[in-house]
Amino acid sequence: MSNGFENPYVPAFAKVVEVRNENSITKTFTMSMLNGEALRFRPGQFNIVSYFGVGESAFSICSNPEERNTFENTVRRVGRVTTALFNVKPGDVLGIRGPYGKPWPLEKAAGNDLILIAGGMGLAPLRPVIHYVARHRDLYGSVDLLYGARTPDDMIYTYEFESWRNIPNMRLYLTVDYVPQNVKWEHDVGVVTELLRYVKPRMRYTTVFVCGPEVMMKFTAQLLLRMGFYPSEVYLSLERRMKCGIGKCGHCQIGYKYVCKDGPVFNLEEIGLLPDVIE
Amino acid sequence: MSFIIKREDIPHFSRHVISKGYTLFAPVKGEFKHSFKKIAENQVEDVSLDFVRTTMPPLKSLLIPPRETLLKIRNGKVEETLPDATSRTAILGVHPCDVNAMSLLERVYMDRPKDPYFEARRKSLLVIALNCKTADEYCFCTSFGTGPSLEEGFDLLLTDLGDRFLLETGSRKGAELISDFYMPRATSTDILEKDDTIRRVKGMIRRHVNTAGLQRIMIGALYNPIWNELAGMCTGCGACNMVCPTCFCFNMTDEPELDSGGTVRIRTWDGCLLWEYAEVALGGNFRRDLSARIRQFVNHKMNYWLNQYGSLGCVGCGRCIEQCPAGIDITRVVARLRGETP
Amino acid sequence: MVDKLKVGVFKLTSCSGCQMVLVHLEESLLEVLKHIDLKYFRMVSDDDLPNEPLDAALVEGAVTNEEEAAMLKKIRRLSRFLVATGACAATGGVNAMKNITPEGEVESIVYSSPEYVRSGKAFGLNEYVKVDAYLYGCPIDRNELVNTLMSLVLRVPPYIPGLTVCMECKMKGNECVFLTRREPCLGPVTVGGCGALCPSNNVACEGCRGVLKGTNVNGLVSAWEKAGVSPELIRIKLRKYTVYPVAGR
Repeated sequence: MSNGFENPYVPAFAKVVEVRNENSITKTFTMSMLNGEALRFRPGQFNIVSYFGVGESAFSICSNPEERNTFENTVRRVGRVTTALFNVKPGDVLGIRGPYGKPWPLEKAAGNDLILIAGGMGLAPLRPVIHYVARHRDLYGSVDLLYGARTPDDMIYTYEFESWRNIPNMRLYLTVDYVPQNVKWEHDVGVVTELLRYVKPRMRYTTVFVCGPEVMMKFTAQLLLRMGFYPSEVYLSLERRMKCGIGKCGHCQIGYKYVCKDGPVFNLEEIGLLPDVIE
Repeated sequence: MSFIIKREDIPHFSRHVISKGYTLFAPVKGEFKHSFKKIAENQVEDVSLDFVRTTMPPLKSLLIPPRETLLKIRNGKVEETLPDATSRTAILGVHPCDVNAMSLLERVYMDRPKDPYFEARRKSLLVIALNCKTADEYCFCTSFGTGPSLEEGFDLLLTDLGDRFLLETGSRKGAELISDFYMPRATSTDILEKDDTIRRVKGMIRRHVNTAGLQRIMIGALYNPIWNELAGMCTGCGACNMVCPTCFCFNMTDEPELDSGGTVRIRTWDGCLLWEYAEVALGGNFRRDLSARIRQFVNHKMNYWLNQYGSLGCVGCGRCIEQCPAGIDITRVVARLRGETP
Repeated sequence: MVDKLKVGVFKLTSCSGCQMVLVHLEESLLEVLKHIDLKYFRMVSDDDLPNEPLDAALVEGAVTNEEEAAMLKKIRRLSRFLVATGACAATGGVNAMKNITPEGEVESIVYSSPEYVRSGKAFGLNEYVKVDAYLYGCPIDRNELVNTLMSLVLRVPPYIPGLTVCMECKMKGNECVFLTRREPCLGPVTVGGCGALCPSNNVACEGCRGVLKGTNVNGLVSAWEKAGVSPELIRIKLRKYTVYPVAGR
């Protein structure tokens, strides 16, 4: 029964049209809204996916923001909702709320060089940035993607790397923590911050987007500041477990900021003085 | 407009409210304390307005119940279980701190996008507030200007003048309710007596939070050793979160609805004192230590609220002090951080 | 629709009260049985221990001897998902009270012929095998049992919200038994989910659902001491479900 109040807790339905295995514990779901409408989002925003009977979970929207028919979420199996989602097949219907949150500042960064630094699953919210840049290549200077993962198998979207390398004036640097035996690996071994030695940034004209595990973001942010990047030009996408996504349930608060509506993207200036930012 | 109700006419007045189609909630005396109960027509004699503080904040429980069904999902359809906004609920005898706490909850839940469950309940609610005629050792509303008397936020307002109550109207809804309830007009003596009562109660309040420049002090104290010291005492029970009239956090979970084969989506009160509250995937937790969770509770009230909603998030009701099994006192914590007490 | 969940219900040293909760689901049980296939449930059928793989095992009771340990290990090998069902399975329960007295002493108080009792120290299941989920309480809560089974039917790990008994007690608007009557109540540190059943009936919480992660038992004991609760009573409270690792008690 509707009382004429807009109900932000009511999910819309989306049909799963494709499920891609990224690796043994990660899948990407391609979905389209059942009502035929596009899920309009901006790179860096997230949505909340319902598996009815189990619950909701927030995920970065990881597809091309200019693709109107479908959208994608990449899911790593870590908890209840993600375990349930792993059993989902094409044709199944899920609940969707959102998109929510503040996106990466792509308009503000126009004219600048971009450095994108991702760790593991942290590449998901940056993938729409890469797609956006590819479509609007003249808006930005050089683009460097620095991507690290635990092992080569932990990397996601590897099937797109070749096309990303073909984007003019974009370079892709890869590293892993270790290479298991019998695995071929022609790139770096070591932490992602070490890849920064390949880039020759013009500090005044560079915007950095970072997303990855907490420790990775912590060390990356510290190093970037030491290197002389402006705190206002270094953006992190933070992870919190959100229940409502609309600034009511309280769970995602960091100091006075709500990750769900003031973030998930913050620059270092905004979060510099807040407690409980990094575990 | 101000009127006078004789003390013995409170049951009669309660019956009048019910006769206007309202479901009435009012304080009833229990073994130790008063609590707000639903009052049926034959229970109006039980309404008792002689109390300092209830354990649970009545308005928070009425507007955001501890457990509520948000949605029912059956056969691929989502059904909203919104409360009926056209229903009428009246609450009688709410103290100023709790009325002000409701205004703070409105800032959270009516901020866009509005919470339609809260909005429906708020719209159907009529508030008959009650100025305080006494205070106890836990009260500190004067620190935030949230008591012991009320200037706004009510439909009707009572002040206890001993043998009679002064009744003031605060809204058209309130005025309509009493339009056919006969009462004599209040005189200037009655108003003066009200002012005397309020002045007397103010003088009874012994506990204080000095709010001058408080936010700067709280920010400066984020890494003060006091948080570790409090973590040694705190049981981590979350009672403070529950009894606080401005704590608004909730959890959302799905539960099976066996008979329909469907699912219900439930929300339940939650609290920042709990381990699970700041947990993220893979066992990560941003407030792993109890000290960080206590710091969050105190700072949210005394610091972050100001940025988030434009005022401090405490109304000085004293419940978190009274109900803490470990005897942690938020006013003393602040005083110590200010260097006002050892 | 996924296949029916193959479930076994097993009992070690315990009073069977938690299995009774399953039986007493009544109408709900019939609904649950639409989704699960009870392969082994000694309380309702005389079958031998199963040999076929199970999707889930609900194991009630503490492990108190080698036979039980062996049986538990067999159940573990057969089962994809193992639920420690009730206080005894979770922590040893009231059985574990005897762990701190000399062997045989408790038995001689309880039984007329203690020589027939074959049991040593009582431990929760996780002392012997990997436990995938817990149903807390003495006995378990029926709603949590249903929610857990239905989660398993959906092939997801069950979820018990991590709140305290104290919070549920406050939600009900109860007066605090500790603050009003100085009764030592374990509600502040105990896993909620029971709806604060005991304090709602004016009885202090006995802590049958175990300690909630992140709570501070030492802090609570200090509060009791400050309130004048006797050391003897504190010891009794902490030992009843013997899950309180407070130094020196």
